[in-house]
Amino acid sequence: MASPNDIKKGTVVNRDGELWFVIEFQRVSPGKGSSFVRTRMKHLTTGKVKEENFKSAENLTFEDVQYKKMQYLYNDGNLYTFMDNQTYEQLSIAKGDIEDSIPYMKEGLEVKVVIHNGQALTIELPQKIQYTVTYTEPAVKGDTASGNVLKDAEMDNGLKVRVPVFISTGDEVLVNTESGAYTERVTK
Amino acid sequence: MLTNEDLTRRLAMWQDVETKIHAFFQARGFVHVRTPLIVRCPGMEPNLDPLEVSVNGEPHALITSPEYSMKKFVGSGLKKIYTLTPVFRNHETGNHNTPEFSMLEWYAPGTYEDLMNETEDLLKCVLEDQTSWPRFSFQEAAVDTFGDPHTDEQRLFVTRYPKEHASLARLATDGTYAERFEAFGDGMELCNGFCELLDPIEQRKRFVQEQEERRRLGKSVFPIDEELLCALGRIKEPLYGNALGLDRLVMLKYAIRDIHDIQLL
Repeated sequence: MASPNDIKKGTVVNRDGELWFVIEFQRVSPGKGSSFVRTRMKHLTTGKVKEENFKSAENLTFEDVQYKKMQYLYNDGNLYTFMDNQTYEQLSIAKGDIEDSIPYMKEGLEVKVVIHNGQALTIELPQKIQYTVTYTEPAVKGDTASGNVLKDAEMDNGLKVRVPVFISTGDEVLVNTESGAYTERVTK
Repeated sequence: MLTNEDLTRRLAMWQDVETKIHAFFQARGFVHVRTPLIVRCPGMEPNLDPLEVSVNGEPHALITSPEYSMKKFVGSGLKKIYTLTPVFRNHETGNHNTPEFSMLEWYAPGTYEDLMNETEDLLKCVLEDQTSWPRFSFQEAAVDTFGDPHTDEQRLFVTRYPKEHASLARLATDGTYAERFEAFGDGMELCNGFCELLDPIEQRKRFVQEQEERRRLGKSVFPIDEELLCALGRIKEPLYGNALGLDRLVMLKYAIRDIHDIQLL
């Protein structure tokens, strides 16, 4: 038995035999009432996403899963293939199991593969991924870095992100994979 | 470390919101006050985990809210006060929570209605958006056991909390509900406002209950803030107070989903 306070991203919760993968969580202490953990979880076979809150005092069952660091190699349209850089072992995961992560994938990206009973269930992306901006309109004269004036930009893997006006083509930027939003520019 | 441009951009967001807040309260005759961050008697709410520190060998804690100090100022005769201060709550993590964050709190003589109107004016001013914030009673908003409303509105006030959720709020004169409201924006709880409980006897009763609850949960039990109870006894007119998460207001204004994306370091 485990406490909801131990929930992390990537925890697999067994709810009446159904396996749910925690995508996002927040520990909350409201002004009044008992504290709880707010989660967004993805069903490991159907891919359905739901939000569920657990009171801190509840008892939960966590599945014993392994997280293996692997590098993304390529895809054939349906299967995405990853490699363990230590053993060179490769494995493939169906596109449907990592649907939300697809826009962020790029060759060589290191991810955590979630393995349960020897089977790769899904992947966990780093919270921030670095990309090269392959195209964005040059800043218009008069735009400033102040506030939050944003413009469209395309990353080296095709991902489209709104970026601040001071970003130029060729810049390296970090993108938050939970919100899909620009985080910061990487110092050259 | 952030690049200069990113730091400047994030600072500009904070500065925009903070400047508007200062201008708003100063135009209304509020005085800006500072409250201590290290105290002997932190917030007693059983669900909060203050960060405990030892000062010269004596147990202290970092504030979870400036509330007690603010009420002491009111007890000393200050009428309309506001503060922007860091606050600390251990074990809070996620996209909307960090153990250290910033709080705007303000207190003034007036009614529950006055406070809701003032909060709405403040939000409109800071967000530069004159759209009204619809008000739903606790029942109408279908608030669940976790405090989340379930309506189609992106921005709303939840009002008239049931007696069981009174917290530090006064009960309405007919006794049917607590004079407490909360504002929600983009799924985030933004603030928690009350017409404050000023009865030191009732307040002591609630503190003793909270101490017992903390003991039962195996959490640190803090002493009752006698100075606060004494201050409450000196406040003669109805007082409202509101606590608003500054980080979340910045996030709301700039449509940022992760609190870490507005941090400066």
